[in-house]
Amino acid sequence: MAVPYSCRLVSRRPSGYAPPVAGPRRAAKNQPAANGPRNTEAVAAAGGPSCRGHPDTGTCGAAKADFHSPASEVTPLDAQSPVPGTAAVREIDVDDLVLEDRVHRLLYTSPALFDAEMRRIFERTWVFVGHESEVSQPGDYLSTLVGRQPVILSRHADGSLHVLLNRCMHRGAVVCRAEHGNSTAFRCMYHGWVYDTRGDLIAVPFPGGYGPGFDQAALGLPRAPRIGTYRGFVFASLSPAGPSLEAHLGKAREYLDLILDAAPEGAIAVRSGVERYAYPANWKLQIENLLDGYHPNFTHQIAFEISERRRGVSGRKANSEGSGATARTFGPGHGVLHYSAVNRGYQGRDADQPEYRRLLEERLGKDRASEVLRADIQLFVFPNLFFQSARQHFRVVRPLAVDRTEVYAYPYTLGGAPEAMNRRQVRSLAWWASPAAFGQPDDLEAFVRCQEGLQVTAAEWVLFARGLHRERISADGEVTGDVTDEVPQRGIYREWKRLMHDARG
Amino acid sequence: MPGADRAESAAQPLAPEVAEGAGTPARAEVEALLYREARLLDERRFEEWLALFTPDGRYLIPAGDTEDPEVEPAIADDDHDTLEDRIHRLRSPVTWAQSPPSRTVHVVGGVEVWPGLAPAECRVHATAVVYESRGGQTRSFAARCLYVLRRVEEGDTPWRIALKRVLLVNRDQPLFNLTFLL
Ligand code: FES
Ligand SMILES: [Fe+2]
Repeated sequence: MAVPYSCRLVSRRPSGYAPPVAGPRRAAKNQPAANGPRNTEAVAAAGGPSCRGHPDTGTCGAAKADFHSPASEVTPLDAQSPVPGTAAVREIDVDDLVLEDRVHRLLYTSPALFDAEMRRIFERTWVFVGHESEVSQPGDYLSTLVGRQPVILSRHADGSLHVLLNRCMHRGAVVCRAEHGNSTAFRCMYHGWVYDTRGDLIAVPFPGGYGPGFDQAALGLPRAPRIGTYRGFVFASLSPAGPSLEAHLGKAREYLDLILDAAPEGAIAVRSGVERYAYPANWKLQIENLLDGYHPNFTHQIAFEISERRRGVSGRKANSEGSGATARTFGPGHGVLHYSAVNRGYQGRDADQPEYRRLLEERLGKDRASEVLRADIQLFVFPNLFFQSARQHFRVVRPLAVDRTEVYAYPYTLGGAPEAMNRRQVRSLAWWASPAAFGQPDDLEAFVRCQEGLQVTAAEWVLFARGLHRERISADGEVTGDVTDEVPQRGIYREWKRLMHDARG
Repeated sequence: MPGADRAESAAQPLAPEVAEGAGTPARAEVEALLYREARLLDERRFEEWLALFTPDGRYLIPAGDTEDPEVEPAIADDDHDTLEDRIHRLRSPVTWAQSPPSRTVHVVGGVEVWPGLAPAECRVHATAVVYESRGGQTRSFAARCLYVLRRVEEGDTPWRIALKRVLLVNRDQPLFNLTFLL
């Protein structure tokens, strides 16, 4: 049977490859527990690629042995993989693809790995689907994707929230095409089956055609097995088992609080507008980039120049080595770029500041208000959600294919903040995050160039080694480095590896 | 934000055509301006292109139908200063999204002229197809362009662009690299 992809594992020791050293980190004292699991992982990686046995058979795959051979040899995995996206991926041992300080080019080029990512990451872990303010009224709905699967977030008449798989139980058509709207029901256009906003099948045309075995009650829209919210952000998991949303978010909640507490009423609102852009390259190039404090001085040199000329400020200093800003990773793949020490947060930006500060102090007290006003952070929530406090928006990365990605950037307004300030913030997003903007398009050019360059097979590795030797680990397990260090990226790939390693998905 | 409150929503049809009011230019005059505008863009004579705008001129590419960039952020939302910056970007060798630069052909048609909603102004509707080639790829973009033109006294062009609104047919889709001028 022909396999519609050609995924190859180049099975040789990479030239210039030096096994990463699992040296002791400058861990916080008295915290062996936090350091323990990480060192275990580091020790495993320090051995370099080696035969650890096939995950299914416990035997050593033929492809593995070649790591010990000096000769370059290519094993075409598709030759042995009758089922696309399943067997093929098991042949690739993810341990060989993700080392502590590097990942293999196949992560960006293999359609088989992309299929596996959709199943093992996006169809399993918690994925953001929408904000409650987008569906505030009974009957409000929005449609989006969890991985590749179309879903509907709806608010039922009784006020309850539902994440429904967008797939007619008759013959499979999506029942909702609109991005958002308000309705009492979803009527499938094909043969007219009608589902309510809770997903129940409430009407089937010409019902006489169905015999006694027809169980209408069992034919509601499938639901996401798990749904959870944090401060209005609705997440769904397509897997019935796994850590709770609370556990998944972990410390991300603290950072999210710091961002969302900027709303004097405590809540943000997502209005109708969204910046969308697309690029022909792998989705992970975008998530790596969102917390990459190393690139701005080079990729965004021109944006910084213009910003300095017009406004007298730019991100040039903050994104320089030793600026005092930090890059951090924590929990399952989340991360932060923390600029509060070097930038001015809300304080520096808004002419409405006195009134705004007063409103904030009223709610939060002086100390917390100051902390919130100073906050300038970028937060990444694994696998595809990103917040930028300074530009008052969040982004959702949508992987479409191994080399095709869309990004939606949602501005939000701070409940209770001066309207002029909110409006200015929404408007400013066009300057950075649109396909015609002064910032993001230069990143997209980098992604496209990476996707092109990663076709080269003579070099297999993408390096995330920067700052590995100077990581600091805090009591709660958070790893911190210089803003230019590739700390968040290493965190992303540790979690990627953990999820991808599990072949159940 | 000149022009914003005077421009019809993208979702609305233009007002029915009315007889040319006093001071409304002949269609041929407007066509000549629009063809010239297109040619200046295609010849990368961006500074001369910008000179076709009034000092309070605005270049707007909405991302949706609400037309208020403070509610629904736009794809581009440029005042005169921002247009200067955009041209500076187009001229810079470190604007990576324009390295190599886009080559374009703007095809303009369907020009219609209405009296303006303010003195010394007129409104124009035109259709445009823009072909863009860069890095071995050629793409095309179709748009309705709505202009507000204002009569000025100086210069060889009595009419200047106070507002150019570009309504891409696919403005509600995620798009890749629109860093050239539409
Ligand atoms: S596919 Fe939906 S009613 Fe037939
Ligand atoms: Fe960037």
